[in-house]
Amino acid sequence: MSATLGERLALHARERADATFCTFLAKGATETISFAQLYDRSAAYAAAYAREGVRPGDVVVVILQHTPHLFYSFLGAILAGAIPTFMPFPSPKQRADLYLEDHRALFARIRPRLLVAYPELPRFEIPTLIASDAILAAGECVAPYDARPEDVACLQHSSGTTSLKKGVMLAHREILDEVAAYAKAIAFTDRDSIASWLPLYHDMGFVACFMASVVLGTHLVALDPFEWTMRPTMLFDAIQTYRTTFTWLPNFAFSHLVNGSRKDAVWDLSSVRAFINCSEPCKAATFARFAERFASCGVRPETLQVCYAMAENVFAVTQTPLGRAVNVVAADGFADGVVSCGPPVDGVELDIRDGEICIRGPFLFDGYYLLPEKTAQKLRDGWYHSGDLGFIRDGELYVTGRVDDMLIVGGRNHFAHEIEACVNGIPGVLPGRNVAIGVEDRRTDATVVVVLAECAEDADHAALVHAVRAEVAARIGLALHAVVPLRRGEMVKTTSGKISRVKNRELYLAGLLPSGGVGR
Amino acid sequence: MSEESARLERVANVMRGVFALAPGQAVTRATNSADVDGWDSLSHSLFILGVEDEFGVDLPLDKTFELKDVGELVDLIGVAEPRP
Repeated sequence: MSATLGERLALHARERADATFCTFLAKGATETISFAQLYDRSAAYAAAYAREGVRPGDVVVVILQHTPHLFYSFLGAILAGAIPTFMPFPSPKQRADLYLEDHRALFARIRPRLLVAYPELPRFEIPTLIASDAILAAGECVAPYDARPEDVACLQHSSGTTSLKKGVMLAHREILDEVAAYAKAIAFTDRDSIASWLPLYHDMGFVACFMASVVLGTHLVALDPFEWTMRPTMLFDAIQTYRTTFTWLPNFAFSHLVNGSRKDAVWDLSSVRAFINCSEPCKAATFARFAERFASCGVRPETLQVCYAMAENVFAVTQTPLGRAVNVVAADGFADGVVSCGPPVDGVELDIRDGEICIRGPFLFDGYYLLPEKTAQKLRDGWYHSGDLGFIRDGELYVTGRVDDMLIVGGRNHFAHEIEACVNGIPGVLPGRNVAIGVEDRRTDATVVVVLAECAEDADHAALVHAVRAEVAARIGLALHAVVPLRRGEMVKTTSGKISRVKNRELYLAGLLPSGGVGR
Repeated sequence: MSEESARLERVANVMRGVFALAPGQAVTRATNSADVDGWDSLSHSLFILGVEDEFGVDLPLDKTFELKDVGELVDLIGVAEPRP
């Protein structure tokens, strides 16, 4: 059996040459890519990299919008022995100069040899290859690099502020073993298939959908994340058409499908073995609404499952058992209970240390790329300290919160202190006197971010709210739900004199901040 | 009331439902996502869905990504074909 990703890719190209790797949906068009085509086009990229002077071990950064070149450019780098990594493109409201500035620090650290980009991407001062079909037509081939299973295959970059991104180093063996173990946990066979709208710069889209399909030789139906956001039920159209059997979604996406579907609309979703809720805390009420709305489409409570995953473990840490509805247990502070994330995937060990979930196992990452100190902080004596809080009951993991100030918004991680730093310099905002808090938006069931900011007495509140929204969108690409201007001294401090996120969030939600701030 | 201002008023009504606008919060052609609490990409799609149902039209996906303000949406509705 093949021991590296390149060998696995070549194996499928030989043995499943005409089988469909991907049905790629974009802008109303459908493109079918076979495993033979996937290999040949990836090899064409490997040849292009050789022409560009990319050598084994070089980092290749891929920043592309929804296009099959995402697959070819990434796998081409694998065949060339280079180390590819996906990164997000700027959101429409992000300013080009700030996007560039933010990435420069990161690129100065990881020193990519080449950037694969789309024509409109703001230009960096590093060699750039514009993805195009001309690369595929070059017809030139180079022998695949003879990688070892323990070599670093790729980097997965954590989300959040770009300059603080950490590149999780994943070896070929770790990816192959994790995909095999996870496939066993969900009884995924070569007859199964995946429908996904998830971006590839996120571990759920990257590993659970893209890598799994490459490693297992199965069918992936890929939708555009932006199109899906606008028309969520296009996922159901795809499932109905291609009879796919697995879909991974963050919690908010379950609600978006309910809210974004017309009342009388019906799909045949009976092919789906599991909709797996992952990357955000799963809520029992969200599952209940989804099951009720789509019961007539073939969705049953036992098809709604949960996975706890992270890039540092390649992907899955735990998975609820398929075939029965997930467990929900009562816990202090959780009115609707806490939803189980299931037992660990085979080989993975869990330990709760001071409330924090710690993980050990055969697919744990090799460290953060060129960040030995960060690695030493998080990876101690073979245990990865996740930063998530939780408990284990009857062998199943329950996740209850975070050790730090991380907010998961739309499946992406943001840190409150980064948002606050961004707000600090805005005229009229009192320095050091704002907090970013995560609250639940009752309409969309998504976690959204509200900034509470004490302001100068003469500040124009309307202008200030505009400025704060614009700055956070431009720098971080995050749309704030609300900005609440407050008078000096309104917010509660901690005993150490810092503005308390927890206390002021409670006051905001209770509508108890004196000069406004009606909680949602 | 002109046809365009009637369209604007109907769009404003959809917004009041989707975004729970504060009482008395005006909606003009210049209103954009920075003026409205909670107008993010998820709620934008629900807003567009509400508008399509209100007017009985299907708006082109690529155009709905690029709308800069309510005025552009009102104009887009004006040129949209009714649903069959």
